[in-house]
Amino acid sequence: MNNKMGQDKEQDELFQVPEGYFEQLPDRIMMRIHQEAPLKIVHSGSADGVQKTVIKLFAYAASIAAVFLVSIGISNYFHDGTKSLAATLTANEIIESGVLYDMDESLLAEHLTTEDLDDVVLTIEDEDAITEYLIEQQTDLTPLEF
Amino acid sequence: MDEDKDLISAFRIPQSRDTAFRDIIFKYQRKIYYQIRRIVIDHDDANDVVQNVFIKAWKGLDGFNEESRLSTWLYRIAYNESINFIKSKKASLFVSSDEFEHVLDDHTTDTSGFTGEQIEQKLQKALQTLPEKQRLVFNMKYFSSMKYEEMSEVLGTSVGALKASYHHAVKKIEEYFRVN
Repeated sequence: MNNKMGQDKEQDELFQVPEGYFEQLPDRIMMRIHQEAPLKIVHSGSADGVQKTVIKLFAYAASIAAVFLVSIGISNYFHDGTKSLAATLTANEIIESGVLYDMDESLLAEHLTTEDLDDVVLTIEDEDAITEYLIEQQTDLTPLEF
Repeated sequence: MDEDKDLISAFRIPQSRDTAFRDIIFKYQRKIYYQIRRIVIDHDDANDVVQNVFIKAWKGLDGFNEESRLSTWLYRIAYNESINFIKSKKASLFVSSDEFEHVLDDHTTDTSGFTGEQIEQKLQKALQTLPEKQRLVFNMKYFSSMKYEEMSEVLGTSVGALKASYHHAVKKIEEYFRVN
């Protein structure tokens, strides 16, 4: 079966179309394209983008603020807090509180005076705890010879 | 072909984008429209589908890699849009494929949609009796004079299968003309 119906069938308009249809079609399509384009920007483009950017900026700012506050807290705890703690407690109170286990020895040495040490009355339990601590710290326990 | 390349290049330049695309529409609107019309039959449906085809082309033309011809690419979009339209219409009408063929057949019988030549109406009625794929292949080959290789690209079917489909379609149409 050859193409008997016509030479160029898409041009022969076997199906009728309204008058002027093909003259108007490009304008209609271009109009729809330009109508859809701004809508797309409003719905899924810039507005959403701006919102997301603002939310991200807030999140970054909040994170930075949180890190800053936490670092200040940690700094105060390890410096001012421990100093004031060491300054207000007596030597016995410090030993009993167990703070010594977490404390830097240099900080202790800085704040304890000879008088303070005179007040310290060590029990056998205290001595055991100190020995244990020194073993943990791998301190040489050989008695010193003067 | 070179003209299409020029149009695509012009489309990719913001200043000439609109003009280039308008030229593409002017060049291909009739071919695309009639390809769609032969599938969906009704003018209003074809009008909706053809507009959607060119809107999709507008959105996708920047990414078009030019491995195939612009016309083939547009035919493929038109084919997919038409098939999707038919499927959605079938679903919305809650009818089977056979019943839907009757709906199309009623449109075909409506002489206001044709130029009036009885033989053309008869051919359209014969086409409605064909399975969807055979009708598409027949339309592309007979009305659009498309080459099998191009049809193969559009429909994603081998050339051999397309030739067989066309052969079956022609036989069935001849039989329809003989009986009616």
